Parts: sequence; structure tokens; C-alpha cells
Amino acid sequence: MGDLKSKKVIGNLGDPKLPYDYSKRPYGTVPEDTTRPPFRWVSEVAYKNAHRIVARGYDTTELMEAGYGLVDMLFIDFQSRIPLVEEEKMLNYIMILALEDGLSMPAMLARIVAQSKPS
Amino acid sequence: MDRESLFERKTSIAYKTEEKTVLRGYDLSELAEEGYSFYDAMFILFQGRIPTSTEESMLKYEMGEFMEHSMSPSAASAIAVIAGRPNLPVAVAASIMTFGGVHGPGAAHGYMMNKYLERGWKDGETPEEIGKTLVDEYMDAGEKVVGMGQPQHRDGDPRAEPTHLKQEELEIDGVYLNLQRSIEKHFHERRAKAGRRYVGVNVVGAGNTALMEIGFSPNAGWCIGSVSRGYSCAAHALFNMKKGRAWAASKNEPMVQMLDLSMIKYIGPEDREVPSQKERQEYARKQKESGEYEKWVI
Repeated sequence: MGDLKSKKVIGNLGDPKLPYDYSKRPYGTVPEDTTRPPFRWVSEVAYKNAHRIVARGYDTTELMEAGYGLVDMLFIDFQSRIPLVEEEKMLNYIMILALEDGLSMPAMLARIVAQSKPS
Repeated sequence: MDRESLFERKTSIAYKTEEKTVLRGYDLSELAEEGYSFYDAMFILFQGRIPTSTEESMLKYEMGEFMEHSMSPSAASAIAVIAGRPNLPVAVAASIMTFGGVHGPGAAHGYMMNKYLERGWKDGETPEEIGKTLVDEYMDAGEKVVGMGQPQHRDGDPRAEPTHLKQEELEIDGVYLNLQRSIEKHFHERRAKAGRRYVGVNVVGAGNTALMEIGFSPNAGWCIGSVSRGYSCAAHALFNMKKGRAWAASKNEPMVQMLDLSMIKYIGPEDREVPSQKERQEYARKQKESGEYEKWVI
């Protein structure tokens, strides 16, 4: 990649009202930015390696083996700590109440979309 | 006309009145007050009955195990979408939309098991024999055995075998686990015989097996996985919304951002001049005849 040898003016691209000379704008991709560390997936929430999945410092499989569940995991992911038993109970309570609302708009829309048989 | 109103919706799942919401016959508030868990409610939602304590324990384990998987296509999608700063539900929906043949809950594994079990039972085969038939047919045809292999956990998915063991501990190891164990055994044997590396069971292979053992259909298993993973993808999106840079291209961040221009590696055709409209037809004809473009066609 790089600048083309001869550049012709196309259409309005040579208009002096442009804030730049279009014919002098370079082709080619931007060189690698070596002044800063390269991109990495930054997260405070979770990481994994080939052997473990770790959320907020806790191995998720170890959490399940120790008897924790999705409600605890949800609390851990968002608040970065193990919930008190009372907090887990309260969140569990709220999640049950939020699970079903009869035929409200989300359920209606889900049914309408499902009727078109998407995969 | 003897027809029902177009706007009437029948359902066997739930109804509500001004006073209460009733799920499969159970008042939702009464379920919560009585100390039932979210897992109980999910079980009732899909199966219409209160689970036994072992069924609830298995579902609790599987939903918690499946919820968080750090940087997978679903979380990466939620993060990428929230970079444009739409509302949070858009990012969560985008994460679920990554679920397909190789990522996400994967109902295909369940359908595969049911298809072979149904056929095998007709032929009087045991789950052990059905597993061998399944593996032989898939591998002879050069097809991927669903539920095996995970690109990031190459020496074994940390969630999978523990899920099998939990199923055995809870003594709900029935026909599905027997079949899955047989699939894994014959899969490993064939790969070892061919000198190929070890590829372990993944969380879909193990999780679907457990969910189907406690009565969930393949599609219900998909729904449960989607709900579970949706929570963690929401957390990843929210983290990036609150602590990350919008657009993911800021020059002011100490680290090169995901969409920094320097991250683009272009491997397509060389830069070329745009032909004038007068030159166009002749240019296009020569370009087509040269055939050079064919290596770029997708």
C-alpha cells in the first residue's frame, strides 16, 4: 500500500473551498502505534485462561461446586462481592417477580416474531 | 363470523389480573414469599411443575456455570455495540445475537441426541451403542460432533466435566448422560487412533445433557442459556459504558483502543485510481477478463 504515482482530480475534489488538497491526501493504512501498549480486552468483570473462568476474582466452577448459583453470580459480576444471604434472598425474590408478567409487550412481541419462524 | 378476536392471545404459560401474576397456575408473589428460588421459577416457566430439590440443584449449577465466560463472541459483541452508546438493552440483545452453530447454548446438541436416541431405541440399541453409531456417522461424514471442543479451553472446558460429575453426584445420571459419556468415549478413541490431539467435551455438551436429563427440551435449554449469559453480557456492557471510552478509538487513552486506526490490517487489492465514467466500460471489461478480481470475491 502507498501513494499512487499520478493522481487526477475527480469531480469536486480539486475545489479550492475544500480545507485540504485532496490529491495530496495519502493512501495506505495507518502505521502501527508503537507509542502505546497494543489493544487488549480490558475488563474488571471477568477473565479466563485455558483452564479457568474467573469472575471478579472467583473461579466460576469453584463457586458452583461450593453451592453458589446464578443469582450469586449476577451479584458478583455487578457488585464484585459475595452477597449476604439476605441480599441473595432479596435479589432472588426480585428476579422471580420480574420473570413473568403475563402477556405484556415483550411477550407479545416475542410471540409475533416467533410466528415468522426465525431460526 | 364465528371467529375469535385477532387480538386475543391464548397462552398456557401465565396470566395476570389487576391483583396478581400467575405462572403456570402459581401466584408469582406467593412463590417468592414461600422461599422458592429463581431456578424453581425458571423450571416452572418451562415445565409447568415445581422441580424436585435435585432438579433445582442441577439447574442452579448449570445456570450459574453458564453465566460468565469472560471474552467470548457474546461479551465482545456487547462491548463493541455499547461503544456506540445505544441504550443498554441493545448491547444485551447484540450479545444474544452472536449465538449460533459454534457459540452460545446450542440447541443442536440436544436435537442430535434425541434423533439418535429415537432411532437407536427403535433398533433396540443401548445408549453405549447409540453413542458409537453417532460418532461413527458424524466422523465418517467429516462432520463436527456437536458438544465437543472449545477453542479457548484446549485441554478441557473447565465447566464441562464438573457438570457431568455434579449430575452423577445428584444421581440424575440417566439416559442422556450415558449417551453423552458414550459419545465422548468413542470420539476420544477415534481421534487417538487417528493420531489427533485430545478434544474435550464443552459446556454445551455437558450442560445440555444435564438440562435434558431434568426434562428440558433442546430449545428450552437454549432459552435458559441465553437468559443466563445475557446477565453477564449486560455486566460487560455496563462496565464499558461506565468506565470505557465511547467509540473505542480515543487517542487520549494510555492503551491503543479497539478501533484505533492503527488496528486496521488491510490485505485486499492495492490502492488504485478510480476510472472516469468515460473510461469505465473498457476498464471494467478488461478487469473482468483478467480474472484477477476472483481471488477477492467473497
